[in-house]
Amino acid sequence: MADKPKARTESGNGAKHRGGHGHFRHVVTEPASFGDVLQLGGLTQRTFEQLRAEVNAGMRRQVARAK
Amino acid sequence: MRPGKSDVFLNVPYSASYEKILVALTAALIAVGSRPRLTFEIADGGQGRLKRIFSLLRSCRVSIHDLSAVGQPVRFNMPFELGLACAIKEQGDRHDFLLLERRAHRLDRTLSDLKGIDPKIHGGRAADAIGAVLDVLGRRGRDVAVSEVLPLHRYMMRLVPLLKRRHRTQSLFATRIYGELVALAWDRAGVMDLLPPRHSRGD
Repeated sequence: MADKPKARTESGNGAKHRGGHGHFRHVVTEPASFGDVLQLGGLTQRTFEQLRAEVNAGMRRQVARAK
Repeated sequence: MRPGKSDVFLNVPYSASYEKILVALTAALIAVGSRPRLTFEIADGGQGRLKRIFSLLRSCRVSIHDLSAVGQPVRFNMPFELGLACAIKEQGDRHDFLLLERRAHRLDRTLSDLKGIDPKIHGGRAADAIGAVLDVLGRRGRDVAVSEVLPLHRYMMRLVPLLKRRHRTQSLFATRIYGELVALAWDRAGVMDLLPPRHSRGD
C-alpha cells in the first residue's frame, strides 16, 4: 500500500480536504483489463471496433459542422 | 459480470445535472485502471435486487458515495447504499469508501452519524471531482495529475451527446450507453498513455 500522496488538484481542493478525511487509506488496486471493461457495455472486440469507427465518424462530422 | 479486483462502486445521483461529475469520476477511475460499477447494471425490481446490490458493493474494493442530492424528490438510495458500505467495512471486509459532497459542512447536518469522516468537496466542478478520486486512489508506478485527466474528461463529454443520439436517449444512466462510454474512454486513455503500464488497447 502506497503512502498517501501529495494533493494533486490544481485548484487546491485536494490540499484543503485531504488532511481531514482520515478514514480512507490511499488505495492502489489491480488494474482492470480491456476485456473486463468491454463487459460493462456488453461489447466484444468486434462490436467495440464498430462502435469506435461510428463514433469517430460522428466526431469528424461534429468538427466539420463547427468549421 | 464477473467481479474485478479493480472495481469501484459509484453511488451517485442519477440525474442529468450530475452527468458532468459522473464523467469526471469515471475519467479519474480509468486513469488509475479501475472499472466503475453502478447499480443500473442491476435490473429494476424483483426480490433479489437488494441482495444483488449488496453483492456488487461487496465485490468492490472501494466505493464512492456522493451525498449531494438532498433536494426534491427525496431519494434514499444513496444514504442507504452508504450504510451498506459502512456495514461491509465494519464487518471486517477489505473495503474502503470515499464520501463526496457538493457543499462543505452540509453533511454535518444531513448525516451527523458520520461526523469525523470528512467528505471531499467537489463543488460541482469536474477538476475537483477528479482530484478527490486521485487523492485516495492511485496506480502503481507513478501518481496521476488532474491536468492529465482533464483532456480525457473533455473527450468523454464530447462523446456523451453522440452516444445519446446513437441510443435515442437523454440519459447516460443506463448499462449499455455508460458501458460504451467507459470502453471508448479506456481506449482513448491508452492512446493518451494515461492507463497503467500493463494495459494497452485490446489487452
